[in-house]
Amino acid sequence: MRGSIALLLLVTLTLGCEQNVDPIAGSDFPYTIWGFMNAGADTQVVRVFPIRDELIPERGSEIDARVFSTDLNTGERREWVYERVQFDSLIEGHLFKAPFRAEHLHRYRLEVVRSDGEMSSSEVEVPSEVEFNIDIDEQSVVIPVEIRGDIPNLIGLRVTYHAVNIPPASAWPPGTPVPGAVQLPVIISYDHLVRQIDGGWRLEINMTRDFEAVRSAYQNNCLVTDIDGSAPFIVLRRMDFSALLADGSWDPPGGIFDPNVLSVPGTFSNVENGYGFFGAGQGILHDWSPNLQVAELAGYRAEQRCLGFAQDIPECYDPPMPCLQDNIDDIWEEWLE
Amino acid sequence: MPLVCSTVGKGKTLLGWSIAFCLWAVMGVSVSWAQNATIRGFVIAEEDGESLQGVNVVLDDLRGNLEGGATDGDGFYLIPGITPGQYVLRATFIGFATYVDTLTLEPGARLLRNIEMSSGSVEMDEIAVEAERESGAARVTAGLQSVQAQDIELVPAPDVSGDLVSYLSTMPSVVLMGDRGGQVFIRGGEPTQNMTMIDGMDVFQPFHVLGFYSAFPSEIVSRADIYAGGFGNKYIGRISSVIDVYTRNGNKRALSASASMSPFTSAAHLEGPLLRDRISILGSARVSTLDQFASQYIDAPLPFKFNDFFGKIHARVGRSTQVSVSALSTYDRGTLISEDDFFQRSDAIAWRNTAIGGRYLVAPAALSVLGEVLVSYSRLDSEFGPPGDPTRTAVLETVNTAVNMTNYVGNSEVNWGFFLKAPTTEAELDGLFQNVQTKRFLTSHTGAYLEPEIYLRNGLYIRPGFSVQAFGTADISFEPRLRVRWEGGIHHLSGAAGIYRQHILGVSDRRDATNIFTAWLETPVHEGMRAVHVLLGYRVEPAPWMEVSLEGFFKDMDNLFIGEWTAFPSFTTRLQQAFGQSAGFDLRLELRRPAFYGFINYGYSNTLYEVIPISEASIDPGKFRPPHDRHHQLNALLATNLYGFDVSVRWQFGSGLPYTRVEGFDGFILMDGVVNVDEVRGFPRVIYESIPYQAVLPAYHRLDISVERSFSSPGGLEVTTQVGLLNVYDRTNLFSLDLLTAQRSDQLPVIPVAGVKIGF
Repeated sequence: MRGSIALLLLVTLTLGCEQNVDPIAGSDFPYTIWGFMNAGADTQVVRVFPIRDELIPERGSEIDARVFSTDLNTGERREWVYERVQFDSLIEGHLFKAPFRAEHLHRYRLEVVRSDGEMSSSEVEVPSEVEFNIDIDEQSVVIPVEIRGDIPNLIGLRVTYHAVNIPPASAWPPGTPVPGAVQLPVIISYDHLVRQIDGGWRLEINMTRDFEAVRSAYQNNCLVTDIDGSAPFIVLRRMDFSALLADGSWDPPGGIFDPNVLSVPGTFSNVENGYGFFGAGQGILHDWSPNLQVAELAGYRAEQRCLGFAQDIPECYDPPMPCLQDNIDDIWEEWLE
Repeated sequence: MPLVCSTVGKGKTLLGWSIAFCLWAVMGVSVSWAQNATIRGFVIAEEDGESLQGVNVVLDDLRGNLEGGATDGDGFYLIPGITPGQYVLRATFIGFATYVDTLTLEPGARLLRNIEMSSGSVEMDEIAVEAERESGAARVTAGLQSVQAQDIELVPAPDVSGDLVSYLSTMPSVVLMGDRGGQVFIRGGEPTQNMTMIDGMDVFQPFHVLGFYSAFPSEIVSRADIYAGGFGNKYIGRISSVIDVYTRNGNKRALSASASMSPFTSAAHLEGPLLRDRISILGSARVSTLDQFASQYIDAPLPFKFNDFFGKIHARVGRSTQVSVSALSTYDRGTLISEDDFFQRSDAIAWRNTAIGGRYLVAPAALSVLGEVLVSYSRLDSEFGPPGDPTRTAVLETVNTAVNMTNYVGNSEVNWGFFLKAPTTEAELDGLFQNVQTKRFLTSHTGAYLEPEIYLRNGLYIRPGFSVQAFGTADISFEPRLRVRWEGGIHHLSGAAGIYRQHILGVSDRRDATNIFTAWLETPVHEGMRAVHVLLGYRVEPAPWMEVSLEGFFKDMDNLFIGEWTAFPSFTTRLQQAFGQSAGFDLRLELRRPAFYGFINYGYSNTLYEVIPISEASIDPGKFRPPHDRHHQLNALLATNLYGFDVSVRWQFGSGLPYTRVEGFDGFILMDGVVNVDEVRGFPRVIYESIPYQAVLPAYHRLDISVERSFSSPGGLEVTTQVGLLNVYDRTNLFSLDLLTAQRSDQLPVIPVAGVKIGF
């Protein structure tokens, strides 16, 4: 009888035992690498994520990594300098920088090495030099852009309109606490508007067509753009054009940079023994301030108040970003009162 | 249905077919039997006027020939095609005195004979033309198991009163996620693929957030027909299973009420005559008391609140007509996220079911027909997010009008009917399923069915049928089905097969067990979800006190939609099309001895899904086990009476559910141009194993015990007390595992319970 009771107790205790679960299978890869060799920059930067077993590491955690690059054409080997950036309370960046300009048609090998010798690496070739022309005519809303040379990949063609919303005081109920000006940069992609020509690529920036997108963006963000059919209260301050003349490795599945697809580890990766992507290319960035006449021609409003970037008018030199719900709530409260 | 859809082309077609069939079914059948007599009626209990199901009603011609059958859920019987002459009418039912009457039936007579049966003992003998019991743990016929209130009461629960979901958790074909969550999976099917009805009204999410409770307390349940698959053509619009709950009508002769209290809930029920023998009322109310009682002594967070209310008025209008109106309301709120959540999420899930409906039942004197008209409105409101500021909401509502008819022809019967529904869906998903339309969607859903049950002698019944349904602009679908049973002494064989379609899709994020928010949408594909069921079962009664059954099943499912696995820990995903197969078997043994009652059952199931990747770039994981695929399930229950105490012990075991392991965590930056990686924040990323659900969680098992005793007080009060212990050996059963943080949430630990119920 005692034996039976002991057995019963044993079985009961055994049954009640907790079984541990280890949901982290672990990865054979040490690092994830993001960046590219930029022939258009004086300093090269790469971001390295160690593959950890916790989603958000402790703030200020160190990375056990050293980064080296080797110019496979010259044999020159450099060690990159570590720098940590805290983006917010959750995300920190482990950056490695090297002060040199990547040479066209040179092949580079990047190695991220752990203290135990584990390594992730990538090899890339910087594409050849190109000729970039942007023809800004002070009388035309159409701006031709030509890029000539042997370009394996032309991606990330973007025009950014840095505009400011400056509605008149009459747009709001009296006393409404809304900022005098609100900035909202609008990026227009030209990836699908570029066409191949003999010896290169060509596209035309159409400010009038893009203005409709800018106005829609402002309206979608609940900014006041049209009152009584008058011209929209959007003042164009600056524009820039950027593109990446990329090497052949920038080849996402289906030719589309879909974050839902590319975020799947290994889907768009040229990193050996690791995840991520390390490419090569030449970044192009050209910015300018269109003159008043062209901006007006495209549909923007000429607003003298801020065009001089008057330092004594805060919203002109540093306008806030839209705080839409606050504005809407304030407006409704005003009306309700 | 077709009547309203007559403006649509295909609606006209459906209308024409329906009218033609109605004429054939009503006129043709009745004319051919014009010279024979018919007897019909309702059988009720003398004590309270409640309808009695399963009563054997037979006519004996005194020459050894018997004709008759068993009453249905409304206590209705009909014996058609009787040769004129003298007969003895007998009605027998366990626990009641046999009813005997002598009749002389003239040619063409259509006799209405309602029967009242008084309590008393009766020995069942050879006059039984069908089995005397309608329910039983091993009594499964082609996927159908009927459950009655007394079955429910046998299962240990944290309350004096039982609940249908407690019984469901003992069935080998049913997988519950645990003691919280309110999700019921049946033979590989998802919860939203189950059709749940109460008195003909749809209830879309009937199971409470705390897994011991549902919208169906035993006080209101008369019986529940649970089809684990292979259901007949009457049930249109779901592809997995059916839970069809019939409630009691309420006491028509005396007032009866009860109130109960336990650490988990407080409940009350009231029933009685509004007009004696004519109109009765039945009401039930239950509210959770976790925060007041259970949380005071249970060392586990219980952030749940729920309630359910049910009311019904039932009237016998004339001798052959019944009318009832039922209404149901349930509410749940709670969070399944652990208290020490890494992200300090405060998201709570809440849902509310509302249903109201009427039922008209008539057995017209001139025809061998039983007719039923149902009109109902059902609505489910769901929300998920911080309390008071939900980020996701969903609404599903429908108005349903249905007509169900049964024509009686000899030993056979012809079931047919049609319905018209107007379902509306609306959802605000906060990007959860990024590739679906969530705008308000109102459409029509119509259908009709024909399903004769034909007796082919030698104990063989076949029930072939077909149904048609038209959903919105989708094509009309035809769904042939077949149910077969053979009864040969102690041996019973049964089988079922059929095609099933469903056009309303319930989607939830199965990546996260703590997020049971379900949105209802129209299926993205025109033809809707489709399933093919095949069942085959054998049942034997080697002794009057023993029953054994074995049933195998196979389900092929197409056009399913499940959330895509993405590497972002942002709880958003896209839907991807999937198809799957589920196969397995249930083995059951039931023992009914004077000294004890018990059953043990084992269920094996194997479900595999395959997905169609959304884009060519997506990884195709091949065949994988979905997270509800429990391979092995074992349940054992023993109930006995010891020294006047009702003792009930239940043990359940479930093998581990699959889950996806994580390789590690890194960050993601979209490299789609001149990206300054020192300025772009990027996103934390989870690196899942490339093939999902390859790992298996620990097995689940638990022992529950309850001891109950009833006392009668001199004042006529009936007092029932209960004590019990749930999870007796304090098994640490895992409820969910947060793959982002590796945090685990466990199910309830050992819990002592005590309750009392006072009634009269």
